[in-house]
Amino acid sequence: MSLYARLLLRSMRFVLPESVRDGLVGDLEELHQERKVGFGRVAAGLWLTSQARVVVACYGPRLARSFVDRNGRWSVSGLVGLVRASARQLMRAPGYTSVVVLMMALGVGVNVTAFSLLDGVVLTPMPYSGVGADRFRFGGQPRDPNLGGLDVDPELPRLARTRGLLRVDGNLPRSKRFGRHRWRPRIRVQRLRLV
Amino acid sequence: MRLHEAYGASLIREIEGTTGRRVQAGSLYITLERLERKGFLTLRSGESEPGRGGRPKRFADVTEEGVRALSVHRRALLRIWDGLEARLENT
Repeated sequence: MSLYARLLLRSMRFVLPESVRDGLVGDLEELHQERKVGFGRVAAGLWLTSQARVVVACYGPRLARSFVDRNGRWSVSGLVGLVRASARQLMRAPGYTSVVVLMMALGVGVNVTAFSLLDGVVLTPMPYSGVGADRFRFGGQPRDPNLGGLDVDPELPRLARTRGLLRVDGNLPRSKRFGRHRWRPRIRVQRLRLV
Repeated sequence: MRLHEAYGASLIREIEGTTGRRVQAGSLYITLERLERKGFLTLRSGESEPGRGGRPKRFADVTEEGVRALSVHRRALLRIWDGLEARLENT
């Protein structure tokens, strides 16, 4: 049996009540083998997926109801029972547990990385349009030559577009680089030159 | 199909072969459990079988009460069809 079918059947065991678990999963395994011979591996896999969907639709709500008391509140004993039953099942199948944990870890890691990149590069706008994060125009005056810092008008983006006179070559701290409202006008300037 | 040998997979095969419609195992088991609660069926586990990943079959046996209910249901259905047979024969 393919890894996919095995994982699907094993996952179904967590949803099903004990009274029908072995019978139903065994029937699905038997019918899946028949379909694999008759219709091929892909068709059998699709059939099994459809069966799993209906099993979850049929038995999922019942499983959820078993953890709610008569007043509609979550029953702690039910939840504890669920956790203990899940732990027992997972300990019985260490290989399956490892595969599931690895897949979940990879899935979470890949998603977090991808969306962090997407957020940083595409979704969050730069404070200033048309220039890099550490190179921009501004319309303020230098006031603190020792520090090399500048008091810059908070309306820098608009001013930069309308009456930009100078170019600052410097690095903004990362926390101040992104997000329009978190930016502070006082910045450390490394180089200042006329444009 | 002999009723005392009926279990999930064989019932699915039988229904699909007879009606030509796909049967979902989850729905079938929900129905079997409901019939068991009403006393029309008893469900029992068989022996472990290697072709099923070592899992036992779950056999369904129809009780006397189930047979009586089936008989009543059949008579009701036949009465319903009675008035329609003549109409359907002409089509």
